[in-house]
Amino acid sequence: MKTNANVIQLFLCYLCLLVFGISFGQDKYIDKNGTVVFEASEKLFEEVKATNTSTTAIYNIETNEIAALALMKGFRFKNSLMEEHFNENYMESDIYPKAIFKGKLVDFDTETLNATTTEVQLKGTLELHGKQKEIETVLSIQKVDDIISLTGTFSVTPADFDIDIPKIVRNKIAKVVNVTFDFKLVKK
Amino acid sequence: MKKKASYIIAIIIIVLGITGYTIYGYMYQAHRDISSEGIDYYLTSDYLKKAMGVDSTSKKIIDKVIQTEGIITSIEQNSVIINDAVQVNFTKTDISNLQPRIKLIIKGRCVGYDDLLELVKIDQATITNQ
Repeated sequence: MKTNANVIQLFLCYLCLLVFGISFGQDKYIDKNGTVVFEASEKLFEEVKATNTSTTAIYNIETNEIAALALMKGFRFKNSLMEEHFNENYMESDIYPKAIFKGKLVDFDTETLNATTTEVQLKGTLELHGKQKEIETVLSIQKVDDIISLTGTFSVTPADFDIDIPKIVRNKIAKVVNVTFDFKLVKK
Repeated sequence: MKKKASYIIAIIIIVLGITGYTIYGYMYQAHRDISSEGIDYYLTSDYLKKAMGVDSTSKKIIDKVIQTEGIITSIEQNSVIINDAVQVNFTKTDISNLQPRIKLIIKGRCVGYDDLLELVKIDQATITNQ
């Protein structure tokens, strides 16, 4: 009899988890091929710019939480040597293979989400190269059909993440790195 | 005497030219061409996912040329998911005639493991079984 009760208990547990999982699963919008571009170019020098077109972004419309993950090796430069140095010397991609952002849209009523672009405040933490930095910016949100578009920019510095730029290239790389993101999320 | 000087100048110019050319070649070397590189690892997509989920083994696989196979579980604009385990992105390959549930063998560069979606990401892929 006792084992029976246990089985029922276990079954109820599973049922709860399942219902929980479904209700959570329905609120998520996902993009597997989001674009993140960063640029740290200086005038008169070769452009320092890389694009990642396979960034993952998840937006939970219930809680307004946003998570994004970009793999370091997914950033492509025009110059292959620059790409190599980026991975080996600056980002140390073997040790820190990804950049993760976790944040939230501040005071955003998802009911107002429609085809007109709305500006929303985004607050969160960006973690890369083993260091974390608080990010605060404004992003544009828009929903056309079943696709939610999130676009925006923010700035960081190499020093924020303990990335040391050698003297020899210091004047060729901008002090402030501009990051642009463009996500097109679909319901999952 | 004059002849000797012009020889020296000629040699200096040639040496400078060669050094310049070498430095230029080093600075602006071509990107890797994954489709023409040899395969480093041939793993099933499920095994690849397992291996990439562990830090110590993923380090050996990231940036290497991988051949992997599995059943297509979903197709998006420019990428294909196989066995719900691997996301494959193509650069030149036309994927418009691919369909879910068919078997696919691909070769590409392993970019890393996405632990948000629990997917291994592969880019610059080409299809090898069609």
